[in-house]
Amino acid sequence: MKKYYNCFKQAKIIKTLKIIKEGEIKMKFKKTCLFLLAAILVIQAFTGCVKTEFQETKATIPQNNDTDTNLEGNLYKSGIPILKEKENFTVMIRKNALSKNSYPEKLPVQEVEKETNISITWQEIAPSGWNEKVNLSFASKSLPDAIVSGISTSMLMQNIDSLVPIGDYVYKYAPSIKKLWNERPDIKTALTTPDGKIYSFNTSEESAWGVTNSLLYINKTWLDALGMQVPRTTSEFYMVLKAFKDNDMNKNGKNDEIPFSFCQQDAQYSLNSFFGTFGVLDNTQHLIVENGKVIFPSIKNEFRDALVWFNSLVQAGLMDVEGFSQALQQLQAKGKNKELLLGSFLSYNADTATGDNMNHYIPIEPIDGGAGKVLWNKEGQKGGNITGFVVTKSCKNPIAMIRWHDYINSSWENKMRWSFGPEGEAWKFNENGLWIQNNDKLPQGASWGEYRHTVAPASQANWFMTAEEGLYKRLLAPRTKIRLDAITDLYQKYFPAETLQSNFENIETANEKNLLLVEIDAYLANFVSNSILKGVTDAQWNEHLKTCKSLNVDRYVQLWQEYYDNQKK
Amino acid sequence: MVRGANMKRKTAELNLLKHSSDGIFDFAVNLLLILILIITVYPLYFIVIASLSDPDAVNTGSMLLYPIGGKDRLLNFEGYIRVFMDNRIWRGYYNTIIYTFFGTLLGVTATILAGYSLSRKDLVGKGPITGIFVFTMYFGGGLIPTYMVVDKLHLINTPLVMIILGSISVYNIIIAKSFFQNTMSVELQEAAFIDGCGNGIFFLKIVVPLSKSIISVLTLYYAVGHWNSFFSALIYLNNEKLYPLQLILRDILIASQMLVSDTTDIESIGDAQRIAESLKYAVIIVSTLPVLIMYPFLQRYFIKGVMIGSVKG
Repeated sequence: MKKYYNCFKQAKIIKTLKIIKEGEIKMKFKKTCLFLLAAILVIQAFTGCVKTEFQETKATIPQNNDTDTNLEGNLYKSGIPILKEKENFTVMIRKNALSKNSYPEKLPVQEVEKETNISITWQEIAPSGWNEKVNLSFASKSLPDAIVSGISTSMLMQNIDSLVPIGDYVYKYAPSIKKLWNERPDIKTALTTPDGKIYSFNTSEESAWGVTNSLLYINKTWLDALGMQVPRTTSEFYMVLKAFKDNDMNKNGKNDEIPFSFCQQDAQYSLNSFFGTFGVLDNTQHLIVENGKVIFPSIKNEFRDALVWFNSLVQAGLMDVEGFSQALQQLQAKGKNKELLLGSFLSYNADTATGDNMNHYIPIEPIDGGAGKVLWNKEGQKGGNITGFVVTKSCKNPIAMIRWHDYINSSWENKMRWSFGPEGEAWKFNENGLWIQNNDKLPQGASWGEYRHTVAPASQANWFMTAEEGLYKRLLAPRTKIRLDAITDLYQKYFPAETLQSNFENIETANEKNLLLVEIDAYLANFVSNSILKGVTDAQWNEHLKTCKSLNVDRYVQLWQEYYDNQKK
Repeated sequence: MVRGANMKRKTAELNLLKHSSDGIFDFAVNLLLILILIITVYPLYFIVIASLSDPDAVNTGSMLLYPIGGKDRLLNFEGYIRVFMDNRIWRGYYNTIIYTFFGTLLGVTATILAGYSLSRKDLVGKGPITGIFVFTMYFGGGLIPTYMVVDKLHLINTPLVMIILGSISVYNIIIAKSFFQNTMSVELQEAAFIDGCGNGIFFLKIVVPLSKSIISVLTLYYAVGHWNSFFSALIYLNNEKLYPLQLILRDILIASQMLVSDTTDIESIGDAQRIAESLKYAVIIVSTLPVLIMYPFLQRYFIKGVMIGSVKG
């Protein structure tokens, strides 16, 4: 009997192993997709509205010496150095592909080691293997002392037992984080997990120009040539596109102008916000919030109006029908064409879509469809990368790690050093005392991005800047300035008052939501593209409403509603 | 004489036949083969010309038959210049060569030894040992348990893990085993033993010199495997200085896509994309060229190897 039982057990184990192995391959792709989604959500960070101008308060950090009374074992409770005797910690970090050297070779890293007496062994993980590596080290319990640059929120929730509740130490040991939380209680809320504790610090930045994805651009050269005004309404927009198509705008004798293009595969170039012309929005979650109520917009009549209008553009040959299928590189190739093909398009920046043709294009205000209100997507993640810094239970001295992170974020200078490197390398002050990109020291053939990531820990490291800090004493690069101005002048007023943001939640609910979303998302992508390309009849619309019901949209909305209410509390 | 004339006539008839119906058949076959050749060769050719073209021309689909260099250039060498200026790629090359050389050395040695022993009838416990070997072909511990073992052996982040882990393939042992079974007969062994050989001398002096073909086949199998492998490096190495070429290339290409979602600096997004676009095809050429050059010369061993390994009734 026992033998049989053992056999059975073994067979079961083997089966599980096999499933795990098969699952790994499938999961990898899925994970990458999910990770990208999560990364888009997380990193497109921003604050609500730009409040008062950021004021740098020069915090002088007291210097410790041997006879100090705030020594606790080997650790100073405040001031620098953090440790009396040097100790070594292991930190896992995602390495940016633009970086040409390793972390110990970077000057800021060496300086901070000298200042804090904390030496770091960096485990530099290639971005492509990041998820696998982090998963593996959690699963095998061979953890580093801290993980920087962000794991997914679900990964954090699943491995919460291996993490130190670092939030508990903040009020005693981490004055700069305490200050941030006092000024921005919303960040503290975003970091809090369902069990009420905080296991991660936020990193990266809430960039003022990252508050939305795509903007609507139009060819100003062509508008001027036609003597037309910037379109404001749907009919004006239609007329402009029609004029672009009918007159040989690029004077090459061929009818090759593309009046309006987009790339639905990439959130930064997709139609999602354009639905706002009719007062609804589409986004990655397919949800909007109105007066505290979570709403599924794709079943609203406004959504249908938008589909019908887009279809009229398609029928008139004004909309690029490849928009649903093309990869970003194809849109870019159209934009960069020497013959100047694009009349209007959705893009993050004019130059990311059109390269050297960028000067022909200006961002314009969202088009008004006469529905009484106009909306534009606002990407609602507060606090930047909310899993940016975690300390694991393998760490023998978690307070030292927390103080190390706190010290890096203790002043604007320290953050700049960690993010952009030493002054005079990748950045410098101009004659007006504003800091600008410094291109003087670029090595032959290198780009500024590569240089920044080589001299500084840069974008993947554990610094956090609010939107105000990001703009502090800064002269923006022209294209960033164009985008920021467009957002503040043309788009901000159309942002919805409330947005959903995905922070920490129970694994079960998160899973249920994700499973529902996968099906809803696949169905909607298909429905939207079909309706826009072929039109939508009454029968089809009713069918659509029925399908949405059968996909359990109500449950999906309900879950989000509960989550939203909880977050507000 | 008559017979000779007859023969002549017959051959002529055959030739005639060949010219009428067989000619059409030959033509059709050749046409088909040429078509298949084009289908198989064009993707390779495409990569070659794409590596010498302006990335935008590749993306628009205007580059089909010959390279388009872009602005006033016939050819665009930007990708190659970037590849050859990148230190990481050279270090990756060096690492890959080291891993391939030592990994293959270890793999071939162990495989030959194991294959020979298992082919001998006088090996005690031959059945169970073969069984254990074969078992590992179908069942593995999975990624995480393997990782834990490697971790406990302190092999993480050492070049050794790239050389030792997965260095022996049971499939290759079986190929070697059937080769030895079929070519090194028991009679040969007995004759050698009568002349005073032990197992060791027999193996070194007789078996190895007679097995050049199987050794070269195994060498190729292992070398190509090591050259192309990146997954164990991805999992077990954290230090970029130890990365093999394939992993570095993967990073350069994939990382640029990941960065698109990183809006913290718009400058870097554009940079990474542009670099990846111009590098993509050049990198493929640079990394496969050594294997590509090796292949035609060693191809005959491949075919031979498969024949050797096959079990004959």
